[in-house]
Amino acid sequence: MLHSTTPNKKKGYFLLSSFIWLFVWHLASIVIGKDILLVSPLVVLKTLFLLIKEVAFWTTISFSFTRIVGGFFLALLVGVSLAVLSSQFIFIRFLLNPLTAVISSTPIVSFIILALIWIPTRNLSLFIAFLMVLPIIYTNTLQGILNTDQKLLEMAEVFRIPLYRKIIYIYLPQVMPFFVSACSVGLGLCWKSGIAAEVIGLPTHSIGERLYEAKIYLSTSELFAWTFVIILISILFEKLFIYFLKKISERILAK
Amino acid sequence: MTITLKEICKTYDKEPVLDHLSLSISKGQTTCLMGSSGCGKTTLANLLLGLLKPDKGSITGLDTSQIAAVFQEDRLCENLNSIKNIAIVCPKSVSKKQILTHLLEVGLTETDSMKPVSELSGGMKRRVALVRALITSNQMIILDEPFKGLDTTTKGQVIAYIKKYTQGKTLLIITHDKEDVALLDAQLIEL
Repeated sequence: MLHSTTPNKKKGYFLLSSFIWLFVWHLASIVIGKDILLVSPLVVLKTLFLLIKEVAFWTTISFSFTRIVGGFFLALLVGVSLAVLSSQFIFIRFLLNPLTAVISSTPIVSFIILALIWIPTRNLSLFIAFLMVLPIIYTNTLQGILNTDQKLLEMAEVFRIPLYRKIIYIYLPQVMPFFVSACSVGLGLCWKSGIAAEVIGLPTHSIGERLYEAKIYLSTSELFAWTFVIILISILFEKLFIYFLKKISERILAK
Repeated sequence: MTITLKEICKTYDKEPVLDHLSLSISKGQTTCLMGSSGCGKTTLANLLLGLLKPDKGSITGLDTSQIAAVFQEDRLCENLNSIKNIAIVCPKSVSKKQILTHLLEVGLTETDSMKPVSELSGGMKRRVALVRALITSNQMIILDEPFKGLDTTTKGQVIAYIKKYTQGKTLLIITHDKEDVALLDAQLIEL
């Protein structure tokens, strides 16, 4: 049976479980005894501190960050626009259905290899992040719009509520949960797919390139350190983005 | 001056709800529409509101750009407070203070008015929906069971409010209670 827990208790459980897993990881690395197979978390932390001091570390992060997040924002813009169009014109919905189904079910690597032929490697992660996030934003936003309470829309029609008020007070509150969950899933996916694209395309000064180098030189500690950095940036950006998204929508509704 | 419905037919899933219905509603008057459950009262209201199209027949003398309504359900934005719910149908010239005055007239308090409507009782929501319909200058108002969930005292207060703000307007009230016809000094149409 699940019991309700206070936020402090939850934080405590989170920290405790994190320490337990870190300890298990540390123990496993001691048992294996070979850094090349499994490096200890302490060594990863040490490597991370060394990396942070390098200027290249920050330029690498900014290179990947701008492209992957750029791809995400582009997907937001296009996905929402297409969802609005699809909600109004059923033909567009039918037209886009096979496209989103194909994008969603095709392996990411197939797209990456194909995109390598089309576009320069510098912008490969931007394109792949865009392509992977687009169907998620599109389908969820469309779902939200189509699930908007028809009775409220009828009320708006009868009272001749202007479009901008309809969007703010009727559509926004109903679409927002779908949109937030799509952004949350999309943000995780854009980092995974974007980094995968960089590892294959190897654009210079990218995180993907550094991961590839770590693999070539069998530097497991660097591989883990960069992976940790990716996870950290991904989680931090997701939390920040969702926080601001909710704040903005609250502010709009309060107007 | 009347709104005339002529030979109106409306069918749902091959089941006729309105079958060659003809009636007239006097403009500037209060009319009560009564009838047994399922006889098509709400369908008729939806036809007048322009939300449904008749399969056959015609409606003349109706200006759909001058209609407001209380629907069978409250149809309020649950996350917004009462004032905001009303403000979204009003022109910008209607102030929050004016809306609040109307809400106080139907027995809501200032505190109630600031709460999201999801936190209000059924009767309170009904009154918010009523104020939303009556606050604007629409010339025709359709009220579908406006007294649903109201106790006798509140109902009296609401009737006084309706009478005050619908003078000279065309008011169509769908009700099950014959007593309402006398209370509202209304004409009666039975379906």
